[in-house]
Amino acid sequence: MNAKHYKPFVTLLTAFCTHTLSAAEIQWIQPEGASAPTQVIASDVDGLRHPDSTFAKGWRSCLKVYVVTDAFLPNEKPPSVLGSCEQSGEAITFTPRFPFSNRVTYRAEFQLPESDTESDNLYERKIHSTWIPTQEKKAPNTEITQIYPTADYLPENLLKFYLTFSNPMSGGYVYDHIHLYNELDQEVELPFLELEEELWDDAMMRLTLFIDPGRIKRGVKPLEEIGPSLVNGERFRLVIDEDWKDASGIQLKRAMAKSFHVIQPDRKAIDPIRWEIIAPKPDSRDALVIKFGESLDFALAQRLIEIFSSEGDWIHGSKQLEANETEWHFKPDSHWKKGDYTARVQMILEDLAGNNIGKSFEVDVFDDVQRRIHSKSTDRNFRVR
Amino acid sequence: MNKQKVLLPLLGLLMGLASSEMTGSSWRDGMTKGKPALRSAGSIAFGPEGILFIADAKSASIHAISTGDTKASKASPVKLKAINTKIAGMLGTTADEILIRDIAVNPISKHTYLSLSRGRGPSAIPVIVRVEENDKLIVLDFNHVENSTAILPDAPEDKLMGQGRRSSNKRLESITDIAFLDDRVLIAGISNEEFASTLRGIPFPFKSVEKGTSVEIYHGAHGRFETKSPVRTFVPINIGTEPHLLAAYTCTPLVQIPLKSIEPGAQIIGKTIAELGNRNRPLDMIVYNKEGNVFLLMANSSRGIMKINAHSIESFDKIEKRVEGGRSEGLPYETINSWKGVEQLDQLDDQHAILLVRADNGSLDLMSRPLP
Repeated sequence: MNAKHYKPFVTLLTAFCTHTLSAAEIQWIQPEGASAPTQVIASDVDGLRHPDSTFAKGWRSCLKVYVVTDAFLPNEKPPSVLGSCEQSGEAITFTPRFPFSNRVTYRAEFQLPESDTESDNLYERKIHSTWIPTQEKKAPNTEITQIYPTADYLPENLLKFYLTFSNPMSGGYVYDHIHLYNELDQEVELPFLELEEELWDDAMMRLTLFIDPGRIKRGVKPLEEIGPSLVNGERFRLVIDEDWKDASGIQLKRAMAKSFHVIQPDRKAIDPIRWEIIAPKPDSRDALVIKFGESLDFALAQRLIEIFSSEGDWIHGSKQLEANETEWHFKPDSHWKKGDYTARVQMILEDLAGNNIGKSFEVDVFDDVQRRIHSKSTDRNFRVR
Repeated sequence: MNKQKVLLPLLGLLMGLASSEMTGSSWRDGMTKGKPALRSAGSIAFGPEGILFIADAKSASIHAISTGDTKASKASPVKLKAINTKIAGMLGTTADEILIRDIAVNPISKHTYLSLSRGRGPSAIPVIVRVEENDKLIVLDFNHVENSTAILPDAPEDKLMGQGRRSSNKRLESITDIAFLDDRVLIAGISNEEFASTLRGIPFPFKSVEKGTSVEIYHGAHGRFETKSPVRTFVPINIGTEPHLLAAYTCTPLVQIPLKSIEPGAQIIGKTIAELGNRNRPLDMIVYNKEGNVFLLMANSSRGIMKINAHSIESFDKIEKRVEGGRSEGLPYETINSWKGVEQLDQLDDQHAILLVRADNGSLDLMSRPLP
């Protein structure tokens, strides 16, 4: 590859030149705007001129790149970075199989293959160069934009939180950064369902945090060994550490805490018949407002309610949850026309305690089997006039 | 997780599907040569003929990949200290940027495979590594492999909404574990929105994807039906002559699920056979034979390795009443104290297990050990 074509930023090169490699050097090719090199080039390689030499036969394994880390013992040879070598003229170009990272120090080594001549000391036949990431520390830029549910009073049998972030985050070990404290400021032990497959959305900007179902108080008796995570009448604090790193490896701008009071458990099914629907005016793009009368699950309330015309056409628009997720606001993309509409709601919609439409989260053994709900959705009709 | 060896051919009959005597080429029916559209690599499991199944939660798919690693051989001992650092070095990064998701042994070649991600953000790259003889690490190249993919179906409500649904507003599901049994891939999933878990079976070779089978279990610690608790890990096992799944749920109840009942749309009542206590997460399980007995080995987050004689499962009554005190109840088990920090395990051969162990100094080591 033509290095000039990329206007390379060339880091030089500590070259221990030997009698056999008089002009060899190693260059790191870093295209303009890139934060890490994309290739390494060993240039002016004498041996390539002599196709019959030992070197010309073994050139593919001459240029190697290593990660510089103190994770290896001094006498331990680290594995070389996977990649491929190409020869062009008197240069050998190494392209890594996985892109170089702007957070890692790399060392490239060019070493002639072993010679038949014993006098050829291998160390004299070697040159190397190190690429060090820029040290300038980027200021933290990522924030926690919201912790759902947003209400200050949450039921004792709360099922989950959602954390939303302003930028993509890094996954793995997320539970190390999330803490729940009781009102005595003691950390609650293992309050969350810690899954190896963390529950991120695709962009890694939203994390779902289930409270461990084994730590949700049920029935009349508490769980004896470690007790429930949340206790009615007490105050709790959910704290997110600032040392949690975003996807670019930079920690959060600031820690975030959500204080809340725990109130009595909610064991009632959702009942859409009790919802208040405020119909918009015709020929306007006013929001249709549905008042649930309780906070519902932030993600599901956005996903599981849709509006259809009386002809069955799906109405395009944008949805928003307001007033601590007790209200659903829908703004159509086009103006409302006079007529009848349907709000279609999926039965699996959940409130904060995981109760569905017509079905409590905590259902007795035989009730559940006998009273299974077959329909998948329920409709609420309204008129625009 | 070695989950393909345990079942009798009876299973094929029970499921009313093709028998396991499929010829070599037909296992690769529907496969094409090329690069699978792998967006993430989570749980992995081996099928027949060196076919590796990879759970790809990001694209809600299971990929079947013909590894070509089909030369029968004996297992060689494995002792790879700081395997995460070594793999990171090969991938041009540092160990803190490597997340190892699962391990599985190819029952033919006895090579251990690791599924991992290089990077921890949304652009992390899925990687599969094979451990060959003399602890040689090979990073699999998927550019020209025979492969096929089964896309998990939309959640029912997505179907219901039809074309109206915006692609950005779809249900997402994580895959907590997969296994291959006889002629189907079993998949345990959990939604990242509603509190719902599914166990699905997809016939292999892939043709059509079935609707998720929902599994209901009686959850000892709570004295209530726990219809929705997610399965963390599961393993096939014969109980008597019947093929079953043993599934470990959150907060560690061990549940026995008859396999013939895992059918589209079925509602199953699993049988809780052990309540292994609070403060504990099941991590991985294997089933093996030793001296005429079948044993279940279960790695846990805080209770170490539990060894359970499967004969006791047959005779054990289900737990129906509330278990007080968060203590353990049900099957008797033995704790293998000499195995510490085990995060993943699989059976390497008749005599050995392969373990991924978190050492006290934080290093992740892959090592073979005689089965207890």
